[in-house]
Parts: sequence; structure tokens; C-alpha cells
Amino acid sequence: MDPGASTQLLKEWSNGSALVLEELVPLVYMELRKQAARYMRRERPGHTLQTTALIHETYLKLVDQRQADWKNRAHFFGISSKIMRRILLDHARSRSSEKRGGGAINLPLEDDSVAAQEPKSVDLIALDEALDRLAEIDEQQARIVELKYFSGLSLNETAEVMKVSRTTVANNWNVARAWLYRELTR
Amino acid sequence: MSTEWRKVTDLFTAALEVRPEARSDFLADACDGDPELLTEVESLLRSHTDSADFLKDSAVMEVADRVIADGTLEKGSSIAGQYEIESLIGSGGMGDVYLARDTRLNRKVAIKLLPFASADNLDRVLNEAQIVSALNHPNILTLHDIGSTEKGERFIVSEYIDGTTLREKIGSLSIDEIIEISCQASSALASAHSAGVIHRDIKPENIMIRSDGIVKVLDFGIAKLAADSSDIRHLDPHIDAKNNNSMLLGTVNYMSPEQATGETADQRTDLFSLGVVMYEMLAGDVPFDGADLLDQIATKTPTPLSQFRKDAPPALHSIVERCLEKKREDRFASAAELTDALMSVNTGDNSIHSTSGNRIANYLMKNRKAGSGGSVRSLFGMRAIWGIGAIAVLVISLLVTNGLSYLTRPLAATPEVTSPEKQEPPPSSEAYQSYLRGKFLWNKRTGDDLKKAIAEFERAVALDPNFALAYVGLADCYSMLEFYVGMPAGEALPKAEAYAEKAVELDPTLGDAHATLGNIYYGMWQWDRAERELKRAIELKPGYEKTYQYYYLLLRDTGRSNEAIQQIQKARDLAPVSLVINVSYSRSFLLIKDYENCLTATRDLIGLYPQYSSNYVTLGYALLGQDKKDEAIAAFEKAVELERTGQTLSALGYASAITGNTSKAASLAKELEERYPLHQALGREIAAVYVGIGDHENAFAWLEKDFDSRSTELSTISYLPPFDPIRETPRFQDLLRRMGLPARSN
Repeated sequence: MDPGASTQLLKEWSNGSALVLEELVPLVYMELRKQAARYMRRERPGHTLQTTALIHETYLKLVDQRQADWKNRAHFFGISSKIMRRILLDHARSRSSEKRGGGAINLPLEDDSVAAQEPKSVDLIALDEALDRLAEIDEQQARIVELKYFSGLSLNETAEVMKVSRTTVANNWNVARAWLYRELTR
Repeated sequence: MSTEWRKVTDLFTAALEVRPEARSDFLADACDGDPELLTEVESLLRSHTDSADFLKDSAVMEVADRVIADGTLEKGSSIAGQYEIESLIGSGGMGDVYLARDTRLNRKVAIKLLPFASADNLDRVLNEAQIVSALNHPNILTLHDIGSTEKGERFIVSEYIDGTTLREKIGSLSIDEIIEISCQASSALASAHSAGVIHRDIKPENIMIRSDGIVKVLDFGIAKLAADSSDIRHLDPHIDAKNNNSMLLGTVNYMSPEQATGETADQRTDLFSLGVVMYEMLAGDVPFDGADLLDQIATKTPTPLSQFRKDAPPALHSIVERCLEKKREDRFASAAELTDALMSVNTGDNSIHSTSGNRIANYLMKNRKAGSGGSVRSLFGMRAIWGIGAIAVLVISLLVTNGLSYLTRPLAATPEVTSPEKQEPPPSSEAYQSYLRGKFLWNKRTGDDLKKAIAEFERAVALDPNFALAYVGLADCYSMLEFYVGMPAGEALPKAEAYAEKAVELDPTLGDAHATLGNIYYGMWQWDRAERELKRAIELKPGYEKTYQYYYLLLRDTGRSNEAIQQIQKARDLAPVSLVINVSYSRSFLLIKDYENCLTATRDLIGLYPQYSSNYVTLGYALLGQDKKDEAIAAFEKAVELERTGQTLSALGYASAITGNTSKAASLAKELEERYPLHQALGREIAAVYVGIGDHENAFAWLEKDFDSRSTELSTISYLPPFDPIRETPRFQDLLRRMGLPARSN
């Protein structure tokens, strides 16, 4: 993939062209897959993926570095978080349709007070819906969740991408997380 | 965001900073008069306490697993009943690459699935890939197999490379390593180009570096599939509709000006791309990049390398810059020329001149210290060795394309390049250089070169009297002198034998030596001794395909047809695309008169090597077996048209005779008889035509000539179809008996 082309697409997207997102999704997806395969090959069997590395490498591959600025980078992470969210959601949906109750995938949700033998799982379909509702209440908080949770960005990186302070990210992340947890455990 | 929610967020944040026991007072105070706000914040704070780990670990790992699992074969799943998937190791525009286990041969392999390739292109492209692999070049990835999955998806099986791509090394390479990698890659290109295959997509991702420093160029011929399969949509449900075709797929940074402007690629196109790779290795960055990339490639002069790497010799900079010339006429004329130029770069890293000879010496020293299985990087110094190998391969592949018949000569198997992994490094680098030159000359397969090769091997053993492989080289040369120089086999083979025995004496565990010795005994009609040596060679070096091929020849001529077929199949399992082995394989069906399978195998092989005359001879014999005389004649005529050799003329002469064209047969017999004193035809090749004509007297006379000169492969008459009419006569059986062969019936 020509980095010049995807940089151009990113620009167009940031200028509000919704059509372009559809063009970007497959490119990002392919690159993500390539990078993931590369990481898996290198990291196994320890199976510890440096979470931000995946998305960073994908970005580096896709974007022409000479034209890359913070604006592009922010847009890229915005897109990739959405794509990653969609990947998980699609997977959860297909599992859910395969067998009843399969919509949940194994994500840690442990209650400190309960010495759980098996970690409870996040219901990704419910999380997705809750995140949509959160976006209606507070779009910034929903984006923070996307960047941190789906793209694996740190607080600092999220702050950089969103051009707000680290404290703002941390505060909003806390309340968003509590709100989502409540939604999912109602 | 509503002001209500803003208040909730702020209050929640503030409350978290208050000690837990003071929180309710703080909140009661802060929410004075707003019970709803109080309830909401308290509820969220409870959630916060309960949700300790909620969403703490990002979902990236999950995503990675998911994207990899999408369309990915599961571990343990089987492809074509032979390959067991271990894991996904790569994914690209053309499809996924897996590490797998070949359960039949119990070895690790890499499998590339090609789900998007259109079928019409695929066969042509895969043929190219096979041709390149068949060159057996040490720097070209070896292809093991090509097939289709149960779902009809095509796949390619290749050797598994334990290493990394060049991409991951860029930025951390020394000048010497850069030269070394370039040299090995260029040598691979030279070999492929000589077989008429252009890579078209040279880039760091297609160059792998094994942990021992050997460079492997991947995806020859396959690259063009990417362009034909810009449809990446099928891979995944997330990829939908309409777009993509307009997108430029593949890495554009390594594209040549001619590709950027839509002209046809030729071998110099690969040199440009390799130039970009070399530039990137040196500068840490590609020479052309940015929005107007295609324009830059076509017109921009790259930033001089001297601005990036002052430690590199100017000669190296000039080489790279010459590769990057916009007009292909201004670049190196060939990869062989580039390889030579790279080999002669003096890096000045030693007190003595660091030319190729010294590099060999350095390599040998390092390799010795590291031991044979050592993981010490031994990049340094190998390019000279491969350089020579590359020239040898080039010459041989030219021989193949020009169709010079060396096929029926058992020792003249696939082109060989000496791999330093395979052998103990000799103590004297000078001896080793002589040995390499000898191998190179031997591979050229002409009388003069064989004599020169002998001189080189003799020099090698004079310098190092314990150099077992050089004695094997001598043995191999002498075993061929009959064909190329006309030295009677009765004279040449005992010398060959003595050399091979010397090699065995020096190193009784050298599988190559036992195989060569076995093959010499075969030529000397010493069947039992031959079999003992070949069995020993198999014990010592079970993965050496030539031994099985030699064993096939022995079993075939001694009437053990079924065993023979088993052996040639083993050879073929080890080297599925080897020309020599496949010719033997296709002919092995003649032993059991299985003409249908013979035709299938031969036609497959012709698809791969359409210019190779011997294949049409096989075809003709199989067609004769099916009594399709006209088609057979056409096949033999094609063989002669490609190449006038004793073999092709003899086959056409025989077929002409048995189809009633006696005058043509007679004139061909005459031509063969004229060739005989020039060592361009064998007695049995002339005899075959006389058998066809019905002149048995003359036929036996010529066979006896071969017998008197102890002609190496006279034993082939025990199975060759033209001798069917006389095979059961007492005279023929007597001839077989005198050669130590068992009686044979049709």
C-alpha cells in the first residue's frame, strides 16, 4: 500500500468525507492483520503483545511519515480504534449467533471482593451499545474509551491524540468506566 | 454534553480525591438541594469501587487474535492431506503464509495460500516460480510443492526459513553486511534472469536473512500475482465493496521508472529495485518517498549517499547510484555484472586488501570457529563463494535453455552450487578456491572445461592432500570424460574410481563420496559393489536426492523395475522440481509399460521445461507404446528440432524406420555414424536405428562397439523401447550376460 495514498485518504477523511472511511477501513484492516501476524510470530509462545506497538506499527506502515503530523496521527488512531471496536463486535456477534450466550469473550472483569475462579466476561455487544449511549451523553468520554481500550493507547498518548491534558483524560476515563460498568451490570 | 453530565463528572472526579470516609459528607454538602445529582454520583462511585479491573487491559490482544483468526486456518488443520498447519507467520496482499509440517517427509515448511490469484495467470506464474526454484541457487527460496486445497485454493509449499526479513535489519547493518546481502541477492537475481524470470517486486520484505547469514530471495515470479489480484476484498467481511481497484497496492517505493511509467519490465528493472534496497540499507531511508512518489521515481535524482554514510567506500556508492539510473541502458547490463562489481568493492576493513580471496579465507576461519551448527553470523566473506556459484548456475541454466543434452548422463544432474554448510571447511583457502573453480568448470559440461576442472581439483589436492571433496570432484570429472572428451570408459572410469576411493578413505562418512563411487561402479557394470556404496550413501546422507536417482538407474538396468520406481519417487519427493530427476521419473513408467502415466508425467514436465528435447523423446516412446505412430513421430521431430543430439536423432531414426520411412531412417543412421568418431553419438544410438530398419547384424555390431569400449550406460539397452524387437534373442541375452546383467524379457 502506498503511504502517500493512505495519507491522502486520511486527509480527506479529516475534511469530512465519510465515503473515504469506507476506503480506509480495508487498508487499515489488512495492515493490522499483517502487523498482528508479524507480532504473533515474534512474540509467541510468551504471547505478550505490546499493546500499543501493534497500532503504532500499523500507523507507521500506512502513513507517509514526511506528511505525517499530529493531526494525521490523531485521525489515524481515531479510525483504528473504531475499526478495532468493529472487529471485536463483529466477532462477538458471530459467536453469539453460533451459540447462545457466546456473545461474551473472555475479558477480565474481576470483582475484588469475589475470589472468582473464572473471570467474568465483558459482553462486547452490550459494551458496544453502552458506548453508543455514552457517546450521546459525552462524545469525548466515548472516544477516550475507544482509544484506550480498543487501541491500547496510554493516558499520555490518548491525551496527545485528543489534544487535552493527561488529567482530563484520566478524570474522564474514570467516570466513563464507572458509568459503563454500571450499564453492563444493571 | 449536557451541563448535568458535566456536573456529574466534575463532582465524581472531586469526590475521588476525597478520602473515602469523608466522601458522603463532601457530597451531601456539594449536592445540597439536588438529590438526583447526589444519587447519580454515589451510584457511579459504587460502580467505580466494584469495577477495579474493568477495561483495564486493552482489547488489542483480543483484536490481534481476531484479525489473525479471520480467514486463518487453525493449528493442526491439514492441507492436501500432507501438511499440518502450525501457525500463521505472515500475511500479505497475495494471501497468508503459514508455518506447517510436512507429515510425509517430516520437515518444517512454509505454505503460502493464494486465494486471490486468477487461475489463468496462476499456472504461468507458478511455472516461473518452479523454474527459478529448480535452479537450486543457494540464495533462492526452494519450492517443494504446488497444489490445491480441498476448496480449490492454490498453495505453494517452500522451505521454511528460520530468520528475519531484511526489513527488520535495516538501520543496524554494517557496510560489510550490506555488501554481503546485496551480493547474495544480486547473485540470486543473476540466476533467475538467466532462466528468463524477472522478479518485479524486489523489496526488503522479499529478502530474508537466515540466522546463519544466508540470504534468501522470496517470491520469484509470484510478485506479479499481486498486481493481478488487487481484489483483497474477499479476505474479510470488513472489507467491502466498490473501492480498492483504484488503490495502488504493493510497495511503490521500490518500483522502477519503467514500471512507474507503465513500460514493460526487464531484468534491469530488478536491478533498480535492488538499488533502492541497497540505498535504504545505507541511508536508512528509501531514496524516493512522499506524495508525488511516482514522479520522483521517474525524474528525481536521489540525495547522494555520501551525505548519509561516510564510512562506505565510494565504489559502493557508485554501484548503488548506477543501479538507480533512470534509463535502464545506464544501469548494469546484468545482475551478474552487478554481482561482480559488488564482489570487487574494497572495504578496507583489513590491513590487507579485503578482496574476495581474503573474504573466503575469513569466512572459513569464522566458520571453523563457529562449528558447523554455530549460530555465529557468518555473513562476512561469503559473497565470493556465491559469486562463483552464481556464474556456474548461470552457465548451466543457459545450457538447459539452449537444450544441450546432458540429461542422459547420470552425473550431470541439476546445477550445483557448493554450500559451505554441507562440508567441513578445508584448512587452506587457496585449495578451497581451486575447488570452487573446479566445481564451476565441471558444471559447464564441455570437454575443455572438464580438463580445466581436473587441473583445478588437482591443484586443490596438491595444496591440501586431505581435501576429500576435491577428490570427489576429480572422480566426477573422470566419470564424464567418455561423453565429453571421448576417453574410453575402460580408461576413464578406473581413474574416477581411484579418486572416489581416495575420498572415501579420507572421509569414510562423506555421503557424496559414496554416492559418486556407487555411480562409478554402476558405469563400470559392477552392480553389487554399486549397490553397496549407494546404500551406504543413503545411510550417511539420507536427504541427498542424487543417491536415490543413481540407485534408480542401477535397479532399472538390473531388471528390478518396481524397486527402481520406488527409488526415483524418493528422489522426486526430495527434489520435486528437479529437471533431471523428473525426466527419470517420467521414464520410469516405461519400465512397467504404464504409458498413460508416462504421458501425464511427461506432459507436466514439458509444461515446466518446454524447450527440453529429452522430454519429447520420452513422449514419443510412450506414444509408440500406445501405437500412436503419427503422434510419436511428431514428438521425435520436435525433439530433433529443439536439438540434434545422438539421443534425438536415434529416436527419430528408429521411429521413422518402424513406420516405413526407411530412407529417412537410413539417412539418420548415416548422420549418427558420422558423429560417432566425434563422440557425438553412441554405438547403441546407432544400433537402435538399425533395429528399426531390421538390420540386426549392424545393430549388434554397433552394440558390440559400445561393449568393447565399456561404454558407461550401455546397460540402458536392457530397458530402452527400441531394443524390444531383439531383446529376447540369444545374442542380446548373451550381451546382457557378459555385462553381468540378468536375462531380460519384454
